[in-house]
Amino acid sequence: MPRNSDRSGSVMLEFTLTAVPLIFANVSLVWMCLGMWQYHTLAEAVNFTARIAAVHGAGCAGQTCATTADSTAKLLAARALGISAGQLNVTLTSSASTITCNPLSTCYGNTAAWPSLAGNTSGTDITITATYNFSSPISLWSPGNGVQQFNAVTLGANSKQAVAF
Amino acid sequence: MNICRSSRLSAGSRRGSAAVEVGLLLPWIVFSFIAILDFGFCAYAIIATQNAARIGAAWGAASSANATSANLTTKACAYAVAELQYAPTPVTACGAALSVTASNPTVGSLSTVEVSVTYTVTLLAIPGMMPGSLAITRTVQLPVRN
Repeated sequence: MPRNSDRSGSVMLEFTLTAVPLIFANVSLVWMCLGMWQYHTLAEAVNFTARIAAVHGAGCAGQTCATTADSTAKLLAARALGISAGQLNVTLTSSASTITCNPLSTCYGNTAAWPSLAGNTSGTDITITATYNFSSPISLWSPGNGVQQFNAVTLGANSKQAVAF
Repeated sequence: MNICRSSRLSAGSRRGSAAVEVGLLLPWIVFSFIAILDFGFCAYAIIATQNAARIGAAWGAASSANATSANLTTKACAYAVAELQYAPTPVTACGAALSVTASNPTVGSLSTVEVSVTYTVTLLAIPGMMPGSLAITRTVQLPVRN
């Protein structure tokens, strides 16, 4: 029968060995939940912003209700809670103009009218496309050519709506 | 003496206990992963399908010309495809994973547009609990504006 001293610390050793994958799993679960939340938030924000844009079409050109790339970008950023505007790439497309915001924060201060343009008449389509690089530290635990990298998954959302007026 | 024997026995019985505990916990951890992914995908699919149906119906309800247009289903399908472009099971056209029906029923004296979108999302199957795919249908009916 082995002596007590041979067994001392064995539970601690086993715990140490099993704690590593357990902590990995717990951190992964939390980050997966965060990723899902951002996935949904992005979709909701894009849809909401597209709806706002759809009711600010040609009818608002030259009016007080006219919207710009700046106001649209800031509206989208405000709805996309928890998503950094510096990591969010957005394309605003309409029949009259296309504005690319890579990242979204570059459109802050852009006073170009969108979609309140004469070409965006009732019935024409506008589209807002957004992609977001979701970075997770999960991969810190994975070997990668000796370099620890934050793994990224591209989350996206798209909404196409007809200009109402 | 009895205490010493008991102590030796319990020390011996503890060998491998942590590994066994992790082994017992592991299925629940894996289950949690799959459940979170499936729940997240389902939630996204439900929201996107609802939005797709509403956008299609809004286009149809914008005018009586749209409501009676032969393109009503085609337009509703185009909006649904755009809305579901980044969905868990991406779609590029109406077909097996995405189907759209649109009609122009009259409720009393009110002309309406009804758009129904069915989207089939692919999931990670949990045997006996969660199927490998789930068909989500959302219907929106709106009155025609003019």
